[in-house]
Formats: sequence, C-alpha cells, structure tokens
Amino acid sequence: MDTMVGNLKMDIPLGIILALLTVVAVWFLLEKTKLGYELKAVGYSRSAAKYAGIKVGRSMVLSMTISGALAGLAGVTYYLGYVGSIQPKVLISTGFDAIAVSLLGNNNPFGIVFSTMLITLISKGSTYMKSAAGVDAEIASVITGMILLFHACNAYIKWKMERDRREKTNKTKEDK
Amino acid sequence: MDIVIIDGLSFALPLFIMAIGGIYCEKSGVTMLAVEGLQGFGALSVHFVAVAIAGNFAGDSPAPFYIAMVMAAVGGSLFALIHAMLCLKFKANQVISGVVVNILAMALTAYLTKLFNRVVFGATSDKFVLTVSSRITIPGISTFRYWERYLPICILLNW
Repeated sequence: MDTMVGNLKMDIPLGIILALLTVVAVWFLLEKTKLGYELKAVGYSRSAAKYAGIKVGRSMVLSMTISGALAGLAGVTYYLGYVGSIQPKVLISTGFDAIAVSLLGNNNPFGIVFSTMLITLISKGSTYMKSAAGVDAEIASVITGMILLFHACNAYIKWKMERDRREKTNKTKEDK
Repeated sequence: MDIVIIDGLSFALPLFIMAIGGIYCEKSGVTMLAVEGLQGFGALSVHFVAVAIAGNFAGDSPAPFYIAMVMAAVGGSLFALIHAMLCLKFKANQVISGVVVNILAMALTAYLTKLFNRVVFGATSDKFVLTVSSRITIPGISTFRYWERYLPICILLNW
C-alpha cells in the first residue's frame, strides 16, 4: 500500500473513508433531518422540548444508541485496521480523549476532522520530537492539555472581544 | 478472611476518600470529573515533599510522612483551583473543564515526575519509589473477638 501523496509514500488506512463518511452522515443527521432537530432541541432545553411535543426519553435513548454505534465503528477501525488483534481487558484510552477532541472541534462534525488531526499529530509526533529535538515525550500531552484548557474558556474570550468591540463603536459614536 | 478484609480495607480507602470528595462536589452542584487527575497530582506533591524534607528528620521518624500527607491535600486542592477558575471566572462548562483538568493533571504528573527524577536524582526514570507506611495496630479493636471486629463495618455498611 504505497500511495503517493505529493512526494511522500505513505500508508493511508481505509478507515479514513469510513471516518469521512461518518462525518457527513452525522452532519446530515443533525442538520437536515427532523430527528437531528429533536436531538438538538432536547440538548438545549429538556423542558422546552417536552412542551413543544418532542418525546424526550425517546430522543435521549436514540442519541445514546447513535453514540454507541459510532463508538463501535471506531473500535472496528482501530482493532481490525490498525492493530489486527484484540486483547480483552486491554483497551485504548481514546474514550476520554474523544470528549475533549469533540469539544475542541466546537461540537461540529466537520470541526472534529481538524481537531482530531491536531491532537493526534501532537501525541504521535512526540516520539519523533524526542529523538529529533531531545524534548521529553511527556511534554506533548502537557501541550494537548494546555490547548484544551484555553479552548475551555472560549466563551469568555468571545464575550470579552464582543464587549471590547461594542465599547469601541460606542466611543466612535460619542466622538462624532 | 482476615487478610481479605484488611487488604480490602487498605485498597478501598483511596476510593472511599475520593468518593467523599465527589459527594462534596455533587452536593454543592459542581460536576467534578477530574478526581482521578487530582489524585495523581496529590500523590506527586507527596513525593516532592517527602523527598525534600526526609533528610531533615531521623531515619524512623514518622513526621515527614504526616507532613507529606497534609501537603498532598494542599497540592490536590491547589490543582482543583484551576477547575474553579475555569468554571467561575472563564464561564467554562463544568464537564469540559473537568475533562480538561483531568488530562492536564495526568500529563503534568508524568512530566514533572520525569523532570524531578532527572534534576534531583540524575536518573531517567518515570517512577518514584517510596517505602510503604508501616501498619499500625489500633488498641481496643485488635483485642476483639473475630465477629466483633467486623461489627462496626457491618453497621456502617447497613447505615
């Protein structure tokens, strides 16, 4: 499997097709169907969705089922495509990272493509970084943590930028 | 049976203390997902303090052990302040902040351990080795008959 990408020969896992298809499917489900609208409505406000006539319990069960199905798909791409064997009781710890990555992608299916690439590049590149630059490999996960830490305050930063802009426009109005 | 109960108790105690911390958070309406990371950071500060002060005391003195235990609580609570700052000052979602603090605490624990080992001991190891604290016999309970020993535990469990 020596696929040419530019000047580089690399192995491209077939799972990437599956991943991109999943991204499109989830985006379609969330943005274009009635079911996705119901799921999002329940997510925003449970009681408001209930008074709007949405079956809250049904859509919660459905959202868990969908997330379980996607997690199962991820397991298949990892164990059949990457490792080739599975050892019971020894599982990868991507589950907890997945929450953080999806939040870094701003809960958007297309954003996740980029945030996953970023986090994986940092964590997988740490071994190369160690041999090439002599930096501890553990610093990679510290960087990941820092990125996520500052991303967690994005609402505050957005609010502060909005406030600064408003003050500036007010000041120009006063000047006139 | 004795061994099972005694070893079980010593392994259950970390879980027990962490659960109490979780109860505090849940009762006050804070979602705390970072308990595991805080546990790691507390253990790291124990090692820092124990290694730093152990030379100043006599060989069999229990004082560094108790001081280090207090400093573990201080280290854990200092790291929990990051969670508080993210939630209160920066208006972050508590679930997001919990996951992030957990990841950061684990990463920092691993990194600082390695750094500390290299700087202080000159060894490239990612492990700290300390001796286990000695077992103490609580007077009174140890003289009880067999079933009497488990009575308080049974009462506690039922309560």
